[in-house]
Amino acid sequence: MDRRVAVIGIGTTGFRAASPEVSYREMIYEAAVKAYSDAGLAPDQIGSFIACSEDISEGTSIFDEYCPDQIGGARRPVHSVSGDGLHGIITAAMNIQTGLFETALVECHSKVSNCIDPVEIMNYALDPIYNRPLGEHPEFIAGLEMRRYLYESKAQPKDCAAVVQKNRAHALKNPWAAYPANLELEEIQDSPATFDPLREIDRAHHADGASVVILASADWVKKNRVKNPVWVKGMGWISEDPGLEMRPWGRSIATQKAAKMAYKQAGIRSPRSEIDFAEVDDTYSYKELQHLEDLWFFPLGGAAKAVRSGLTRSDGKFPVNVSGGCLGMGNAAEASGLQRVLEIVTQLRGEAGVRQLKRVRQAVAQSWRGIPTTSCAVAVLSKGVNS
Amino acid sequence: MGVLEKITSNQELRSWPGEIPLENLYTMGLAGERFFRGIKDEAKLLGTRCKTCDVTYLPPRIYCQGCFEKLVNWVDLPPQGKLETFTILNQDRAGRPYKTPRILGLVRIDRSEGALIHYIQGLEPQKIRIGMKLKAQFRSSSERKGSIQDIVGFVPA
Ligand SMILES: [Zn+2]
Repeated sequence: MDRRVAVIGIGTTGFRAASPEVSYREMIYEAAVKAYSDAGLAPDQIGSFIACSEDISEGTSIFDEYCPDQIGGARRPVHSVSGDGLHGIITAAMNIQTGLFETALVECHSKVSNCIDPVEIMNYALDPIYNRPLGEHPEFIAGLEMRRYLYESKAQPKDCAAVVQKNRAHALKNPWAAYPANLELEEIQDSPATFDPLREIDRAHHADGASVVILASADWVKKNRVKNPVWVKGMGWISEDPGLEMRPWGRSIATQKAAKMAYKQAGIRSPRSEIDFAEVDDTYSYKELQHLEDLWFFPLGGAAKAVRSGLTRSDGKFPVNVSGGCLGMGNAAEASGLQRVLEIVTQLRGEAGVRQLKRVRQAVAQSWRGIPTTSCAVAVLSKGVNS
Repeated sequence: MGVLEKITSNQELRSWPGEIPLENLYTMGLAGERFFRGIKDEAKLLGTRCKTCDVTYLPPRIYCQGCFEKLVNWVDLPPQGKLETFTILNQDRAGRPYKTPRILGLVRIDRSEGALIHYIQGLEPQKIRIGMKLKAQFRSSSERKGSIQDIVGFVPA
């Protein structure tokens, strides 16, 4: 029995600022149809269905009940994960590794344009006794973290501006992206500070969209002669201290530990030389720099140098967020994590068109669950089962 | 499997508004009761200490996340510490600009691994430095109700 796991199908609606012409279920249906078509499968060939969502963002209690039918999972084994898309991928992979299922499907979506007040939803995630009584905008947390990160790493606000410029420019070549732009560094630096040092433009805009990924066991891949499987070689997920008061503020410990877990599984000793490109969380510009360092690609302060020198551009030696990331594609909640997997699979298959990277074999996806969490997940994806 | 026909006219878009009055009560628990009683009655900060792990929790917890043992060792902590980071808030929760920006800081409290997040008072933004010593300013005893708002903010120590 070969229980290694591969991605064998992907589908997405792409991300947009709003999607008034469809319901969330129709949007998900479209992504699912595309994923089935890509994999050459029908719903009755899927063993396990996993949907990632958060009730309060959906505006529906027990949202699990609204997941099955639009992904082909009615009257089938379905469960939902209140986690990021990468948590969904990891759950699906483990479902397959049990031997109970040969295939699994993961769905994530965002219909945030239906939320009247997403800031209040974010605020409701804050500790109700120690933090929420202050009554401030919850993104003050990003302001606090950005200042501490810049202090420890000696990165500059202009390095964060360079991340915004890079990712919005990358999005110009991605038809799935909602916020492509050609920006001058000066206009980014002139963006008004909201929670200083955080600027308005350092934050990813919300987006709607749905994405679906289908995975299968190595046995299934061999038996069905899948042409272009992308292997899930390593997985890690960590939640650090929940409280704002006891956690360190400069580094993402959850990313460090999740990365170690994933690299160990994948047999990676030297991440920077063994990984060809990365799709990482950039909900706020500084998070990309922080996450790259905590994924062990660069020492503290090294990510700022990398973005300054162009190393992390799509034409650089170590492309980061060639999809455009959250800054360029839009922040589609749980779907952003799944979209990182979609981008990596598209690149490793060589199907990325005008943004295709050359000679890439192995990549890393990393997610952060957003304010005020310290939950992160990491996956190593690879073209060859042994590479 | 089908493909979707989509609505192509704005005039045909329909939506239904939904809302619930979402209100909760959050009990403070054993540790929270004692912590906020300390603030209300004596204007002092209380933490819990794990000797095994050499960690002092603030806000206090009744268990240690490191060794998972019950914590019974309560310690008085000085209401002061070092500024670990701060941010200048230019807008409120609804996105409306503040006429006078507010400043929130995270102060790592002396003799503990914990911290408190509160307003920084009495300092111009350009005078604030990471690492500076700040002390908590409490409301007068008659004004204190047993909440985080019994602290007005942090001022230079
Ligand atoms: Zn302990």
